[in-house]
Amino acid sequence: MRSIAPRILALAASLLFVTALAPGALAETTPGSHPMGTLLATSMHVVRFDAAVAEEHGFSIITRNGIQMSVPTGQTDATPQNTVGGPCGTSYIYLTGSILQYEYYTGFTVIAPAVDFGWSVNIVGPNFYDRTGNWGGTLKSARSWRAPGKGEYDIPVDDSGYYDGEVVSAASFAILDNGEVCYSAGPSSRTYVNYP
Amino acid sequence: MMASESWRFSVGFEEIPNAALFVRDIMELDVPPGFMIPPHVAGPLPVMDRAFHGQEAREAGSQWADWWHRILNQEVLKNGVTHVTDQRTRLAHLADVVGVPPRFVELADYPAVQKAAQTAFTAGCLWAGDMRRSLLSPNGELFDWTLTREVAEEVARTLRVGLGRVQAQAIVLIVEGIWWQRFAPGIILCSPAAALNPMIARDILQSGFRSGFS
Repeated sequence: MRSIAPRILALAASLLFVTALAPGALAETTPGSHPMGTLLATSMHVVRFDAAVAEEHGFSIITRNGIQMSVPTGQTDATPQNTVGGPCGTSYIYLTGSILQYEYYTGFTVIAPAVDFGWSVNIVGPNFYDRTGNWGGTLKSARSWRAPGKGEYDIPVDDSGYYDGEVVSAASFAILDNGEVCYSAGPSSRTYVNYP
Repeated sequence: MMASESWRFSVGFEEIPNAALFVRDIMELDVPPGFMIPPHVAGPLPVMDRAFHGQEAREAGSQWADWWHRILNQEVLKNGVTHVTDQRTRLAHLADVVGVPPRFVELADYPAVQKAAQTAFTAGCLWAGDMRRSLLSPNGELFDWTLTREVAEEVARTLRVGLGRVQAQAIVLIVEGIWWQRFAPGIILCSPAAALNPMIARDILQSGFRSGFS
């Protein structure tokens, strides 16, 4: 997790709006996931990105799936890993394959009590398989959050093959009680789902 | 705190490289000693009555070493595939490098290891998934975060560099004993026992951060 100063909260809200427009965000919610909270209910919208301002605050402007978006700097050249840690905590995702099913869990731990969060996971697989799970809402000063609360989601699938899941960095964050916003550094995981 | 001043430590604990090690050991491949060949996998393995012997084991072992280095390179993505790469591109790259069960046609140039992978790779994935579940804490951590932060800040102070330049990653391999090795600047291969041992973990983190600062 990476810490962002409170003064760029407006930028964060703008990022959420852009993320909501991303193709993945419109995909079907993963079975067993919880609906996104109220964080997307913002009247703010993106007119344009200011690369200089973004860079000053540790963001980079990139284009993904034809949509321009801002992500924390470092994510542009980082390698995907299951757990990624930084000054304000860690975030993680683990996919495990079995017979025509994969299991997964995801979450974060932060250094100070969190009061709010948003989280988005995208999982792709064979034959255009593409699912997004979104979570968000208030946290009662928790220092960690995990989905599911314990164990793993069991997701049946139709096809064997490799599956890739990642925490969507720009839409996955915790707001700490001191006003800091910690963004996930975007961990990811891959697994193989087998036929019976 | 500026985001550009963030240190970073990432841990890859994936099924696929561990499944490749499972293939090596359960098929009893005779792998020539060499750079980055880890010890035997941890724990007892089920008996495989189709294990290789003699020349077949040597031939498959030699081919496995090539396959292994390709898998490791794929894991650390030294070939230019980065995090922002589309997930489908990453999957296609994975299939090219590792091969796709059950036939592994991508390994046609390595017929002996192709046969070994056809026999044991998917069982290796299941084995690795179960082993990983038994080793990770409920919040998915292996390295102690407080220790990680302490070492990252210490390395930044010692080298007199900004925290943003202190970055490293570990790839966890389910092999026996306390074992770790630096694979490339900032990239460490290690056993779970090494990661869970505070003294060894400190050495791993120091080596990773010191060699990996950009």
